Amino acid sequence: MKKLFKTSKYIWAIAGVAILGTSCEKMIETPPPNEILVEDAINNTQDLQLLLNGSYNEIANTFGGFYQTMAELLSDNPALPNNNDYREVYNHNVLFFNSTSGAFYSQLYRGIFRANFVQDHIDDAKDLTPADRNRILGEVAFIRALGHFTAVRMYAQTYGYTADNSHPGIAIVTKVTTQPQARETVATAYASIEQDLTNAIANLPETNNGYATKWAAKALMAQVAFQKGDYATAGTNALEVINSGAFTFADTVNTFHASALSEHIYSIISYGVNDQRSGAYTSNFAAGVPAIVLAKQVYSGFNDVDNDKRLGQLEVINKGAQNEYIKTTQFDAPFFDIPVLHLTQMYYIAIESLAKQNQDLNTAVNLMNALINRAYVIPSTLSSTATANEILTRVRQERRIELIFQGDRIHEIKRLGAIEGERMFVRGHEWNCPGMMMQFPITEKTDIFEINPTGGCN
Amino acid sequence: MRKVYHRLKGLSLILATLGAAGSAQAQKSAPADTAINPPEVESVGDVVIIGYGRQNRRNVVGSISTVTGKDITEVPTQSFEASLQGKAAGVQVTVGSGMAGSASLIRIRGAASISAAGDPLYVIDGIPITQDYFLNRSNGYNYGGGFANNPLASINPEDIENIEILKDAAATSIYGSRGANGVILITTKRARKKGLKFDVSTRFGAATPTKMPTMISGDEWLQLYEEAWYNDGNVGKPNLSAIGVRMNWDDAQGVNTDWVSKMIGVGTKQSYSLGTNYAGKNFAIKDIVSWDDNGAYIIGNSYQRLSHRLNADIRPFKGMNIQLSHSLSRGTNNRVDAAWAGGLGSAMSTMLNIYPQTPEYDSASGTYTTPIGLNTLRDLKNWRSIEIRSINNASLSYEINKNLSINASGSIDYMDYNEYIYEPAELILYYNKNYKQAGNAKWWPRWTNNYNYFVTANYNKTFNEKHDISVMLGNEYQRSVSESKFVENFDATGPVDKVAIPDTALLSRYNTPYTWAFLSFFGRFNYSFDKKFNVQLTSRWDGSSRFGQNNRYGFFPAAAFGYIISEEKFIKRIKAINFMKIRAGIGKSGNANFDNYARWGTITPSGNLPLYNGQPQLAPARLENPNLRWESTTNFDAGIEVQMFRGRVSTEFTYYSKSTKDVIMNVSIPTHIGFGSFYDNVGMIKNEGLEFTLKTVNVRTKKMRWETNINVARNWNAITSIGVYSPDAISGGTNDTRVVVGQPVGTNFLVRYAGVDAQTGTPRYYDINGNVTDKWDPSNRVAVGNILPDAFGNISNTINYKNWELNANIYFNIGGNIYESSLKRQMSLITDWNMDPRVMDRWQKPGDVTNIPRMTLSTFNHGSTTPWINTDLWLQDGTYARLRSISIGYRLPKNWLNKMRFENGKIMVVGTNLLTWTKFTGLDPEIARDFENATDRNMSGSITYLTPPQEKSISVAINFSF
Repeated sequence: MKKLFKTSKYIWAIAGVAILGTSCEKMIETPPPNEILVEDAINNTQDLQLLLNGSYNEIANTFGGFYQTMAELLSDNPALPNNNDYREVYNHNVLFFNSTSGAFYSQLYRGIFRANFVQDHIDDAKDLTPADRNRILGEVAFIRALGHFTAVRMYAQTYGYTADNSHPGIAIVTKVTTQPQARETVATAYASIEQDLTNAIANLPETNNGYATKWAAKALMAQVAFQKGDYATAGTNALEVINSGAFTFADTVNTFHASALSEHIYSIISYGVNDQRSGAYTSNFAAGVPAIVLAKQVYSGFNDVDNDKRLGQLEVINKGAQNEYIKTTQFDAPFFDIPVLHLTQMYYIAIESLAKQNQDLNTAVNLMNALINRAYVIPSTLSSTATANEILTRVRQERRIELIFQGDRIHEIKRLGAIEGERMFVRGHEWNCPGMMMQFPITEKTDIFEINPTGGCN
Repeated sequence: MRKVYHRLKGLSLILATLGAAGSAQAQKSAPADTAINPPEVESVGDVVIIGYGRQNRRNVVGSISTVTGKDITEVPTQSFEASLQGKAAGVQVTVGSGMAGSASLIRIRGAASISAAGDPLYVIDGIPITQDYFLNRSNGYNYGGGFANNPLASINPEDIENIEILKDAAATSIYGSRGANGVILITTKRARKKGLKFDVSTRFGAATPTKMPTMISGDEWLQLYEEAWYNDGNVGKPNLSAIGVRMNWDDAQGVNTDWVSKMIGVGTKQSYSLGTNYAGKNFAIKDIVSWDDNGAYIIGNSYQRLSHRLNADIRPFKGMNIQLSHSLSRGTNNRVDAAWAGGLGSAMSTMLNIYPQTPEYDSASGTYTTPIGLNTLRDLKNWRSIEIRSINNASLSYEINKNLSINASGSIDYMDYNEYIYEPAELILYYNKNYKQAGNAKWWPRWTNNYNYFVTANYNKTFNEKHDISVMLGNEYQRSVSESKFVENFDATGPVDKVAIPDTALLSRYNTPYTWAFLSFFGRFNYSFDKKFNVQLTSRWDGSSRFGQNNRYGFFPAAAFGYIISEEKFIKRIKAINFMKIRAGIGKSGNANFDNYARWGTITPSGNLPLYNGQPQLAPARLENPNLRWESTTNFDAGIEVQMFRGRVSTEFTYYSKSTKDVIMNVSIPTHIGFGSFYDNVGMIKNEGLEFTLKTVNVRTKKMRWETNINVARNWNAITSIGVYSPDAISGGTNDTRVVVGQPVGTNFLVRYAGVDAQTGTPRYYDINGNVTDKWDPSNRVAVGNILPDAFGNISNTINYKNWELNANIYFNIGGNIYESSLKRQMSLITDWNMDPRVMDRWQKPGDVTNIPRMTLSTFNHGSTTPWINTDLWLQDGTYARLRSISIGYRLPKNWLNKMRFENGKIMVVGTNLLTWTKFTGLDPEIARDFENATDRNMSGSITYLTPPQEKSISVAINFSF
């Protein structure tokens, strides 16, 4: 044995060297199990489609009531909620540790990230047709615009707060990156949103199985322009959608009701009780004693309650008692589609845009009267010779009621303050005080991104 | 074979000494317990284990501290690593809580990591062991019950021959990307005495808390509640429903259940160990069987370890050494909830003393209106963690000729960790009156196979008698594969491991394997001139499965020299100096102990995600980071070692400077990136420090010896960069500390408390500019303290007089802060929490001067919109000194022993933590809380949240050898 080892002592050396030389890359490749590597996951159009659906899924989580809850809390609609996080929003004093506000913000950008991810991997699908490519990129642009537009309206001072909109806006993320982005100005943010929508309008088809369409992009463009006070663009886009024939005016004041689906331009789709995306609406506006109920003083400001079918959807619970509250019955269905963009909205935009431009008042009156006739048991319509100012007064009054709990009111307050020069207040806080913006989560703060001041509304 | 054996008459005990690599150089000196007087000049001729080899201590150029097995076993601890406290300068050991099996927190020369684990690398007999404190994280149960599993608890301290702590780059860069936070080399015992010998040791002891948690009584709590009720403007009889307590005000009067006392008892301890030693001419074995039952003072909580070790040494023929090491242990942790999860933590929080022992049942609603008693809960819930651990190594070395040798080593560390929880119907019925089944049994098993091999070739040669060179080249590969599952049965009559359960009743979920691997090449070159000048160059290339595509391999070089000046004539002339060495080294090492899969970009399969619009979806799961790499530490170290007066005084003084870049941060990347968090190499940290050790033999006579050992270390730590991020960019779980540039790792970043308005009793705060405000706003947080001590050390005195030995160890910690995180609920707002007696000093009427505001039920009265606010009111100085251990031993007289045919015999009484000196007003100033993840371990030391205090214990040990 000793001899064996002696004679073969060099075998040891050789073996050692052999092992030393075994530099096998595979020995240190241990990809995670249960997950698919990105390079293996995306090969064809179907893969891209599934990823894109993942992005829509995030949009659904944002707009299935979450966004609307946050926006309503900022506005003058709700009564003081019980939940601490909600209270901070309601009090216009959101701390950067507010986890609900943080979750909402991250939900928004997760949708944008996933859309960008699809865009960045579009060339990985080898079988992609030019038509599919255009459509997918159009959808990406639409999702990104919707996300950025929501973020800039909620987390920055509104368009028009400064004359040149050089005030701080939001991060604009148009590709997948891990590098912290700077906070762009509101002007830059809107320019990017409009660019995305222009691309979306050019690339999207007119119908798309529940996903974004050309009409959805135009409807969103109308909203964006309207917020800016660019009434020409707003009116044109809104009227194009109205006149497209793709959507029909429904005979119900509840746009969330199944009978109003013909009005839905872009909606969050609920497939059933077990696949519903209306949960945030249900839990915040409908179930039990809801977190969001209408402020009593708002309700008492409405003077035609019995005649107004829209107000008829409101229910006064424990009337006259200490614990009286006013909830809406609009969201009582176990599940429903949530219209993010719908025809009624387009009516309001078109009417006000036309009136502001003092153009085609006849159309404005006709659209207004359609809304009035639907809304009231005994309608009192506008006369065909109504002036622009009369139309404006009426359209704002009806909008105040019609779009309640849809996250519309706060942006109206800010638009009227910034663009129309009116002194608008929510619970004594003027439209442009810092607390009227949501606060970013603290993790946003970097050397190139300054977060909002906390509170500051007195 | 027999023939071969006979030819090997010259087999010395060398083969029984350790060493993973190469040829034997010298025999390690016997530990001190065999003789009263240890060798006078210890460092000469002493052998030190270094990475992949050994070195004569005088030739060592790196900073290495040695801790002997005796030091490890002398004082009973929850887990062996706690024994390292105070044993080496610059090695900060924060002993774990009073829970059985709890883990200590060890930081070597400061904190240099944020989101990567900052623990040193543990190597046992050549294998970097499985040391992940959060291995079960995917099961969501790794820190269940307010306690993370301690992967070191199953290691038997009796197995340990000695521990080497490698501190600087000269010593650690041979461990490349894993050496930056220090390396702890553990060598297990091998046979060393000729013939057949036995060692028997036993220990019995008892433990109680270092400080008893006390809470206010039910009556006092009601008094405070009533005060708050009226302070808030309420009228009429106070109503407890305002805080969600369903008890009637009148029923609550005079209940006064002391829940803390129902959770705390006397922990009993017993341990037995039998060591068998046989060394023949060519074959030696060491066999150790131990049983240790370590009961905590928390009732129902204990750690039991049954372990066996068999180490064999075979020398089949000249030049060939085979070493086999095997251990098998079973650690059973009898668990109870603690801290935030319940048990003692509940007794200190949600379990109000107004709750009666037996919960009140409301027959109308069919539910209990008061919580179930903590003791009932504890007694009904059957919860054990059982770890089977086996660490094995086979190492073979062959001397090809007198200059060249080759060593090959293969190891496997197998860990089979199981969490068993059984809740009988009786328990579940408290929560769910409709529960109809027998009980709920859960089982979380995880199996981890960690294996490595390394081969080294060693070449040694002496030229012209004065020039010694030695070269070592090596290659290593390590891989760890860990798999888990979760099994649950809702209709079980007992725990999964005790009661047969039909397969059909088992639900198996979550199989989340982890795999990681390292492939490495390394080398070391030593040159020694004239026995007085030593130079060492080392380098290592590490490739790891964790490194991104663009950084597959890291390179870690180091250079160091040592100069034994005492060999020079001008020093030799100074009679007082026996030995003097200066050394300096610079090098690079890394830390790669971070998430296994952070580098990969992956997609979650559609099957794991819900449908949207009736269609499946895919979603990105991880964002690829192709640049992800090791943390890189450049480490400079310079020191001087001196021995004087024939070994009566030895001292060592070291300066070090560590600059770490590419610090891994699990940054909560700005949300707009669209991803929650992301591991990236972002930060920079600087550690700088001084270490001083002094050993004096104050008395040295034939009958008496008195020795004093002092070590102290001062460390300066600062984060020098966190990239563009803000202090809040780190998601550290429960920690209340932040990363602030210019401040140490784990900075208390808090709103400053400005005291109580003496007229109104409301609290006030400072805003960012130092102006007093009554509004709490997190924008006003500033750096007000930090968790790291300024300095720490140990003073040890040992007196041997005839057969008696007295030893006392005082550990001290100077500076650093303690944040009592739970006080914001125990001393501030009145909620459904029990309160700390310190709250009784509250403001009650205009003119009262105190820091505790007037009692209220509403956070708005504290100027805050959110209830649990952190301020520096709960921050205290962390300075303390503690009599870590004191022991009195009696060595049985030789003549008596000889009559009984014993070789040695000793009886010892040991006390631990008997005294603590501190100004800290909380429970225990030494805090290693229930961490949630690696970031938490780095950032949340010295933060307490219902953390059980450490135990103090008294035990009697009896050791014999024959």
